[in-house]
Amino acid sequence: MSFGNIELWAAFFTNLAITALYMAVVIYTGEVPRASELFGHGLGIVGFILMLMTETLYSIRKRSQFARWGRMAYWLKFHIYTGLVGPYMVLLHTSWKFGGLAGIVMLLTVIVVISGFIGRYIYTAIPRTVDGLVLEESDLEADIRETEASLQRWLQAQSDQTRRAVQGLLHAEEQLLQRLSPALLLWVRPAVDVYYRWLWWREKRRMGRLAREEAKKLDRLLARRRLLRRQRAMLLWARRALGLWHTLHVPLGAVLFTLAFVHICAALYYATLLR
Amino acid sequence: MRGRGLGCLTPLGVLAALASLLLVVGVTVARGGVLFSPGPLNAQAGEIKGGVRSHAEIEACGQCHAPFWGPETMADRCMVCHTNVDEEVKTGQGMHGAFLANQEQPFCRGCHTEHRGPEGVLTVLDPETFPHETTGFPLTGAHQDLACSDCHTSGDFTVGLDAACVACHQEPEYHAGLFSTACEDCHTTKAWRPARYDEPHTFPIDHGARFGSTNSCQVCHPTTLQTYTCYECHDPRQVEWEHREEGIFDFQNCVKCHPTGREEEGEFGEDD
Repeated sequence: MSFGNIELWAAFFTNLAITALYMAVVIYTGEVPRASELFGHGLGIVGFILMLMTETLYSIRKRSQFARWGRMAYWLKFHIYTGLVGPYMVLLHTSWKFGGLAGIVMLLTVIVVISGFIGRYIYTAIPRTVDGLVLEESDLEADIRETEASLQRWLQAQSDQTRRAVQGLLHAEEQLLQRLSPALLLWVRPAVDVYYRWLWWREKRRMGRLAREEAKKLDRLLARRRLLRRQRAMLLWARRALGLWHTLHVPLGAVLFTLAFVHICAALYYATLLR
Repeated sequence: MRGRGLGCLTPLGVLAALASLLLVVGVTVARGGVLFSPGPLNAQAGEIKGGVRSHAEIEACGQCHAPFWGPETMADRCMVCHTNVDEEVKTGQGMHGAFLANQEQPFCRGCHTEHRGPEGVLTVLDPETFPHETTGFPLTGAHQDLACSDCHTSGDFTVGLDAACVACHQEPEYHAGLFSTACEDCHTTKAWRPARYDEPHTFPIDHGARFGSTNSCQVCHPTTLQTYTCYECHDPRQVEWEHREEGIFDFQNCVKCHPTGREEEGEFGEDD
């Protein structure tokens, strides 16, 4: 498990625990918990509070001049965690009935969660500091120059065979970068990464044992170089895509919460406060 | 804030929220509370009440759902159509009158549900807390351990059952035709046995039993009450030997010569 994805694992295990509890209630009562009864209602209330936290806390931290506690990256992790656990609890709250406004709210929740995944995917294409601040193109260029210099220094100390192998790989990378449009690169970058790794693995196999051991030390540096060059190539498009995503995601979220509040008011009127 | 509000408060976000709200209002004005219904109403048709044959024919939510700020309750609106139940509640008569005898206000939703689909059940009772005594048939003894469906086999709980024992229990072969069907004269609901028998018995019922106690019926009548045997206690070979020794060869009908069970009272006994 990488620490980088801890929020996804935490959400996965929390949802697993909630599922176990849900199944225990199903087995104990012999029926699917109703949305209007204690357990089902509780799921809905807690799930909605988590969704509300998802919608507000990260946004407040990002925009407020006063609420500056905690790193942005950690708030984003918390945003993702509550954004996965909250909707799952709301899904269980539905008791698997998707009629009327409640069904529309659930459908919107699913759409917003999927949209959130897409947003995170685009977000990770944009270079940032550990605090989550966007790097400017000039910062990126400086990083690339520094990485190139490190690579050249390392290569000078290597045998001709290793140098040729690395230069062959860099050439193949360059060709692919030129061939792919930045917009396409944004969406297929995991596949491109796998392709590069395969190329480098193939080159290493051709080397002798000692050269291969030396080449392994280059893995991280090559990966860093690849990432930076790719980020530079698609920077403009990634920013545009994030802007477009934001334009669509925000209204979806606004509609979701508006309808969720209407659903809550209706549930209070027709059920909770009914005498 | 840095001159910007929450992320959702973009012009497009606010516009989308307002548009969705308008849409909800529009649908509600045009189609009533269809958006808020947790499920279709029951469509099983019955006699016409309040102008409809089934709840599914009710169009406005407000016909049943009273606003929480008003004095009216939902039960009040139930009674507008279900006048027969209202009558029972007011007079204290019938099943509902008995159920609601100790309640200040009727609470129909305690037993009756809705929005469970056209074929959905309308009455849900908790067998653990249901006051069965209000039906005129208190569940006592072994009846407490039964499932509802053991007696209400049709699944229709609104139809009263015959409270006579023979409606559910068959008279056993053991005493078929000997007694009336007033089972409670001898039996309790706790168990069929032991049974209490207070009527005169042709043979001393405490014969051979410990002092102050009686024998159970099965001691002398192991298969049916219409036959008896003494050989559950007395050794038939010894009985035969003792009778033959005294020249008695017709000794199969014991009570003919021993009507009270005493040895001496026989035709050839010492008393004679």
